[in-house]
Amino acid sequence: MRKFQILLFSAAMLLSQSCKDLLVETPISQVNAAYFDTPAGFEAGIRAVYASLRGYYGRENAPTLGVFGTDTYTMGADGSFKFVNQYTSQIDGRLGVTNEIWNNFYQAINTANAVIGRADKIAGIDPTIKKRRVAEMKFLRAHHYFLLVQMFGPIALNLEENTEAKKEFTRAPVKDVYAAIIADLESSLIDLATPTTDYGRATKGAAEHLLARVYLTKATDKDAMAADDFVKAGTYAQNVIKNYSYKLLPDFAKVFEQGAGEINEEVIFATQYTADALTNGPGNEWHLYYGMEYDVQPGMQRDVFNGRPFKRFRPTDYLLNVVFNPANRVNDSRYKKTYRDVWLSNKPGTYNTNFDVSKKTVTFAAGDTAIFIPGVEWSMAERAAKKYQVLVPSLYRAILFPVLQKFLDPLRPDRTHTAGSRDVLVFRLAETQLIAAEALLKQGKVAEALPFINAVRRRAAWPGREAAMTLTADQLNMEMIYEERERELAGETLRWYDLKRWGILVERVKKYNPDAAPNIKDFHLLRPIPQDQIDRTTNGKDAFPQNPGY
Amino acid sequence: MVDGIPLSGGIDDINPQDISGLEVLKDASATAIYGSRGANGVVIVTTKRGKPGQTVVSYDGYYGLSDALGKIDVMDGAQFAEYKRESRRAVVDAKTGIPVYPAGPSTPEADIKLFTDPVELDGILTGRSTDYQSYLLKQGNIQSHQVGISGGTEKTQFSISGNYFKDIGVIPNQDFTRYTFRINLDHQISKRLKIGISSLGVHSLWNGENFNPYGGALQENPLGKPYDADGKLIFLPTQDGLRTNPIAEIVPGAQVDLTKRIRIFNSIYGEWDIVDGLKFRVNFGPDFTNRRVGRFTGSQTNARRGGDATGFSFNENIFNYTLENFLTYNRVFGEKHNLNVTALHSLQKDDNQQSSISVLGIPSETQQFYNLGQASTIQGVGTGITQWTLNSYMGRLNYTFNDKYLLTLTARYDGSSRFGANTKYGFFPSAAVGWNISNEPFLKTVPWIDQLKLRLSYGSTGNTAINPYQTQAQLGRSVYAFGTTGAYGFGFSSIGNPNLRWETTSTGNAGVDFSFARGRVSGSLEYYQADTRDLLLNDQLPLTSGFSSVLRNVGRTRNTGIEVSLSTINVDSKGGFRWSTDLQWTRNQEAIIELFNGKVDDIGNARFIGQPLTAFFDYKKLGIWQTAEADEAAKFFRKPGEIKVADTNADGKIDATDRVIIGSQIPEFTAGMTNRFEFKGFDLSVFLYARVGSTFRSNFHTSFNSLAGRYNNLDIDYWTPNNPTNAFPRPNQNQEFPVYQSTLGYFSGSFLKVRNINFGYNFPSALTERLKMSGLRAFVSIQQPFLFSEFRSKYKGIDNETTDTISEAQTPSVRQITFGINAKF
Repeated sequence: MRKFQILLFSAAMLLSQSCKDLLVETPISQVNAAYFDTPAGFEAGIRAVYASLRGYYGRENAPTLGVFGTDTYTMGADGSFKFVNQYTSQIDGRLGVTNEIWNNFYQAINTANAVIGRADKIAGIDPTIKKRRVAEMKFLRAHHYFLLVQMFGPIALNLEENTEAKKEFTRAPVKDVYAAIIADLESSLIDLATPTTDYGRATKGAAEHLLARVYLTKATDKDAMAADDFVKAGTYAQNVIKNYSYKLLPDFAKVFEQGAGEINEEVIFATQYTADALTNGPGNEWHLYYGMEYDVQPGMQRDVFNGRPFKRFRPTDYLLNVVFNPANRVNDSRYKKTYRDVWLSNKPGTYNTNFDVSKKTVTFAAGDTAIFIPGVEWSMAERAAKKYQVLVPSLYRAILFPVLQKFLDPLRPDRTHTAGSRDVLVFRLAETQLIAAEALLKQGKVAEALPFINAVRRRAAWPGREAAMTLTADQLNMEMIYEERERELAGETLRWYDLKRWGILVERVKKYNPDAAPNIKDFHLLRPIPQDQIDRTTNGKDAFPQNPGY
Repeated sequence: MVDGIPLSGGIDDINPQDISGLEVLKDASATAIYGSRGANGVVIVTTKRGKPGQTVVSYDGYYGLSDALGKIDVMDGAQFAEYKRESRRAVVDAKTGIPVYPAGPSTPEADIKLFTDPVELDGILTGRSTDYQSYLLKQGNIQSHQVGISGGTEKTQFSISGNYFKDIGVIPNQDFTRYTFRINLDHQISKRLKIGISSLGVHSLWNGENFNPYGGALQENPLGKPYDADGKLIFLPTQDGLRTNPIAEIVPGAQVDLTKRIRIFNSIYGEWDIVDGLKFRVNFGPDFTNRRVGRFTGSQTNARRGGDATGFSFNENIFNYTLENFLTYNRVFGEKHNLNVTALHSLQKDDNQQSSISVLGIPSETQQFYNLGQASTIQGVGTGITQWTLNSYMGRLNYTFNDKYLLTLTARYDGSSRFGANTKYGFFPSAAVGWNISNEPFLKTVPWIDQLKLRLSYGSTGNTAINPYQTQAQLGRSVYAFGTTGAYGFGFSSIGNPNLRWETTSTGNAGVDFSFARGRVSGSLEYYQADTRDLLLNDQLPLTSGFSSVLRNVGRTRNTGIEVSLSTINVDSKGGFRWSTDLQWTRNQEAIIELFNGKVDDIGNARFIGQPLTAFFDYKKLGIWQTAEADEAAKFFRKPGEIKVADTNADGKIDATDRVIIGSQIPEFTAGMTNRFEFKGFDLSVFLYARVGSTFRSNFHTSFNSLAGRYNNLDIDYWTPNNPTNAFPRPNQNQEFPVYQSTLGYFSGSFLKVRNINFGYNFPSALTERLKMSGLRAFVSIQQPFLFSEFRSKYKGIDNETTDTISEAQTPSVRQITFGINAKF
């Protein structure tokens, strides 16, 4: 009997475990904010801020806002954001692409603020490394604020870690945002490394390139401009060109080589992607968006080399006929090197033709040309003489058009894979050269500007055509800059910001983008503030008003 | 609570045939003994235990067939072609200024230009209309077989049962199988000592829990061709590269989605009668669960579209235990005073550990997800642990005077690990009084009153139903790389709230229980008011804070309600015919009294003073802009054929300030009625259930009404210049979904259902005795034979019995007919 009673008592004795410690909550598999106060946490926080670059470079949001609704790109057949190109009233505070960027950047800015603010107190880090890391964070914070201020105008400006659930926010004047960006970048120059062993980190050259872009932009913003902005833009751009080992690659096509070639002398700063799925995150998805519907054409099926064509962005006639004027293509290699024009059959057989009705059927063996885009009009007879379908400009439409190949990713593991491994080249020397040329031209220094734009143009020349590509002083004007930047940078998500900077967005879109022309208004120079931001801020639209027009 | 131990993770594990008793506790005083776990009421399940005497063997089984309650009405081939044409008539080519498809009736020439896909064009010319749903639907079946043995001696009793249950759905690869084994043992060690155990082992298998191929069939172009002339599946039935054949998803081995779960749930007790009236009881409930989710997606599926096969495996190991010590003192004083005092300590701990791996490039598809290490790319691996603890003390006093006046006082002190360091414990008192009026002398003489009892209670309960670790700011891991070197980082993922504390609900209840005319009319009437304060709600933050939300104790709400239940015996004839009716009627009203900033609406969280927590806040759809309204529409940047929403503040533009409250999930009332008929061993029962007056959102209706002329669509009444409807907007190729699409997703939650009809026969004892049986019953039942709702009849919906949002992954509702027997030997 006794032993059962002992049993029951011992069960009751379990009570006597300390009730005080019983409810202490200790996260084991999770990491809490105190980690940022350790040397390892400091470095981890920094890497997390770098990761926020992938929320923009490589996502659909960047080209949707930077490529759509410009003079050079309009909408293809598919996608949820055609209205961004068309500037309809559907662009409002609920716009997914702007909300995504806003949320991602402000989250990263808060982490950057935490790392910068806590750095002083962390012991056990080499002081040089610590200063350099803080400078890297200032570079990224400035980068994020620069994109935000261009998109939204006055925005919330936080430079301190937010440690509580704060709801009071206001929109700081554009001038203040630029001042903070420049303060961050100029102070980062002191501590940033010149060459870096950790490829992909921010360097002094990257900060100077960004400063050049920032001053060039600020110079034209009536809310922030200063008299010496163009001078500073020119100086910083020339510093990048002269003070470091960056070089233009001899061949334009090599700049966009994938794999080992991604890391080349022309790259100043790149968002990093890798073939290792574990560290590639969502991957670079830009390979999806610029393709045309080759995969249902006779003799073709979808494959890794040619990619998954989402048909989002289609070149305008202005881009194809004026920027890449067919008459200049004998001199300038960039049309040919920017656009894919041949598809080789990967599904042999005999088929009825689809778009090219110059013949009834086509027959392909594997590897035969199935589709060719000559880039100029051919007569019916000329097309009929070819054994493949010829896609001439008069047949371009929402599903069929020249395909930008800068971002195509044939190294994906399979044809369905969206997470590409290509780095996104955020800053490269060719753009620095064009910034220098623009900044000098704006100061009236045409002769000084010429060598910079000519360096880019001569590199782009077909062998032996360098002379024909070289501009003379009388040929260099802003119209030339408008075209030259796009010849060099087509599709690289900068166009919308370029047009805005030049003050010609509305005018040019009306002239060259027929899908957008009827709707675009002056207020579209700013994007709508996310409605969630307004709704969730204390005092709502009185404290954090929407941009006019939305 | 199953045999005294809280059962988390679903009643699914309990086999209904093992249940001997079921009790529902609602008011704060009654649930006090269960503490925070009873914040929303308690269902007490008691399982069957053995009785001393002859050993009883029983068999219970049924088998039934399930059929879809009709298909979902999507467009057929001809309707699809016309819808696609209309989506092009709505688009004017910016360069040429003419519509992409000419206005007016269709012409073969225009069709040739539009339908460049030869399969589509051939479909139009030959009148093809592929009904993909018919390929994905089949008859399902359901079966259950249970064998039980129970019996025992005066000292030891046992009850053992085993059950096999299988429910095969109407869509291939969707089924549920469960094996349960239960053993209940009680043993009287001595006059004052008793021990016992209930142990339940469950092995469950779900196929298709996470994968539903039906949506693909609804969106598939009906002009397409699913099979070639040789009967071989065509992977791309049209030229649309995104639209693979929905039938490919159900090819054996193409999609595997198998969840396997093993659970051992125990309740062990010991009871010691220390002296007469003083009793000690210990309950110990160890509960072990192991769950494995396996997913395999083959190359020839819509998710992979010819890409390499992917696999995923998730393992979860949960150990939860409850330990409770009761000390009870029970005594009657002076014959009329009955006193019962209980002291309780209760401790519950939960430890949940998970691991997962996902891969790409499984070498051979036959490996499914069983050898993920051999895949070419590991895409992710993860492990984790989550723990929480509840620690409570309770004292309760029950006092009854002369079976007429009842008093219960309870005090609880509950602690939860999930709250802030200084706010872990909460104090929750409650009191209840009862008056058995029918035991008063002045009513004892009224012959038609059997029972009349008044109840009043008031008490508070705490709620701790939040995820652990939310008092601390957590970091989330990020991935990056510098060159090819991985660069894992940590950034803020959540802002902690160190002040989190108990959400407290104080409920007042008033109720009457009655029974009149020897039980011919009985029932209860209940009124309650529940005031909740410090609600544990996510407060959405402006993103400029660096965070999207924080969990907070926010504001106050009030729920008031009436519950009526009435049972009547309408006929009880001498000839053996009996007809009885049970009625239930419930009405609950919810209103927010106060929010974070006091009595101020919180638009960011869509919470409004005076409205329920679940209010829907959106633009209000008025109809469709008509041709004659083109100028008016243009002022709002809209065109005829597009959705017209209300300019509620009449400022001449539509913006965020025009959003209004569309409705809430709280119904006006719900009601149920059961009618039972019995005659000479035959019995028939019919159960009806209705809900009236709620609103819910259907993502199904936004997903399958994209109206862009690419994917198939619900067969709805859309606007065209010749069909000036106000129901749905005009299809338009240039938008992936209509502007103000969300306004198409709100529907009335009202419905009336015949839940089930049961018909049974108890064989007479004369027959069963001859068969050496102690009881035999045969029955047939129909589950959900009828379903009436506007959502279903008018809006092509399926089943609107949901509380908030209907997801886009829907399967047709099912009607089940089952046949079964219960036999006892």
